[in-house]
Amino acid sequence: MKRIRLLATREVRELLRQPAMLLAITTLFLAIGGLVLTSAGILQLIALSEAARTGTESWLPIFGLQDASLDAVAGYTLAIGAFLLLSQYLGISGVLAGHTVLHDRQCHTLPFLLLAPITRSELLLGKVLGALALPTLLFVLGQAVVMGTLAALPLTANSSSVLPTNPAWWITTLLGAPIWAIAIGLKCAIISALARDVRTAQQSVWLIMFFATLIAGYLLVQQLPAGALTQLGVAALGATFACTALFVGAKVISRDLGR
Amino acid sequence: MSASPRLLVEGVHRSFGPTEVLRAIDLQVRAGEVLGLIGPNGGGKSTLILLMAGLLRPSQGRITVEGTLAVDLARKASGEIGLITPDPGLYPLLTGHENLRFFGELNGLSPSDVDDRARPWIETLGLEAALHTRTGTWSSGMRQKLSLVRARLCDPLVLLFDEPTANLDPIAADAVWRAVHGAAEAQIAVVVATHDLRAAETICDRVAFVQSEVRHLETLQGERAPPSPSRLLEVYRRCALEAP
Repeated sequence: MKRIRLLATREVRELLRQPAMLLAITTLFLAIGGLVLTSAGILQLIALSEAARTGTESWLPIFGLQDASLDAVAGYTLAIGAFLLLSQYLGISGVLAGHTVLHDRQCHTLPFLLLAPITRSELLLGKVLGALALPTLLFVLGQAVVMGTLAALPLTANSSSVLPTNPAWWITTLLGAPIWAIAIGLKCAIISALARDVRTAQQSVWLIMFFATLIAGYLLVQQLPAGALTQLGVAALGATFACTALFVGAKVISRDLGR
Repeated sequence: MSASPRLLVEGVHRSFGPTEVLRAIDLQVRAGEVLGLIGPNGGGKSTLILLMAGLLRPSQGRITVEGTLAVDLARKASGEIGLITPDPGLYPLLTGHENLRFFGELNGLSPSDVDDRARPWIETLGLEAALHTRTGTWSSGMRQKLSLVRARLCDPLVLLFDEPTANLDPIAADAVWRAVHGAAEAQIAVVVATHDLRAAETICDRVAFVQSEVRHLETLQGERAPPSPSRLLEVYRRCALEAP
């Protein structure tokens, strides 16, 4: 455990000393959060006036939203916002975890890590946890601020499944999403360790990340209305993927260490 | 020097796909002995070093350190094999001290142990002034010296040097050769892959010419010593010290 902490702390320290990536992640979360809050705010302003609400709802069929109410549009906005925040967090996790191994390959530090008295599982877990610590903090903060603010709007009363008023939201934000981020991060780290060169590693990471974030994003956001138990199941599925990745990763990275 | 070999290479072949890089390698190194590996670029010296470190698996044959397969030692990550590569393998955003602390603690040392063990080497190699600055700003010679300090932190049984003086200035190279000599004096089994024949002649007990196979193995006569400082090295050192 001490060695996992050592590896993770070093990752965090290096990430803090190269703040460009953190700035990019923060900007991304701010942009998504700002977009969702602005959209929901405008909808709330419209909802305050009955005339504006009726007028706007009469325009909705033009956008393919037959018989839709302003409340339903607010619901779509929230769902899209929640999915964007989550999928971006998962995507960032894959990139950062993959990059942490590539960084070791570029710095030629990987052989020295492989020769140190740590298991491959500890090595993978330490690097991935370190790479994800700060993005996870930013994600949880972003979710809390954006979704917490949205929960205060009267218009979102009918869309509470993606808001903190739903207990499943807490399970998703604090448990499910970080576990899936670790699972995706582990897969990307393993690929980066095994790929012959940096370009192949990056291309493979992008491919995995695209599909994995879509699937995990769907499970985590679309299943929120199904309740807390379902979200616990989704988190357990993510944990199973993470454990499998850890087990397989420890085996394949040991096969020919010097690659 | 002990009688029984500490590092034993027996009938080792290694291929990468259809390309056979090494074949029928048989070598042994005793504790306190320095084995030099010389040979042309692409001759397989670095591959042999990685095989000895257990970071690559032989296609055939076996490599053992005190009876345990090198690959198993690397997999168990016992810290008994020290490695110095041409690229020092340091984190550029961490300071020299942070790098040493990180690798030392990863190898099971306490922070104070790391500092105590590193101090004499840092003083000998003249790294005190830069120790708390980021290694990304260091010269390649300074980084190589720090990688030497790191390799000596954990009392390895075997130390493997892969072209340790590549791209180093004469002062740094001299420090590296002294460290190689010091390791052998401390009864560590040492293997050095190098293109510096003059240094190999003075510092190695035996030298193997490797070009896909061991084409020649020679035991060198005379007492082992670091390469003797040339008059020009002294001039070089004085000028470097006097430079603003």
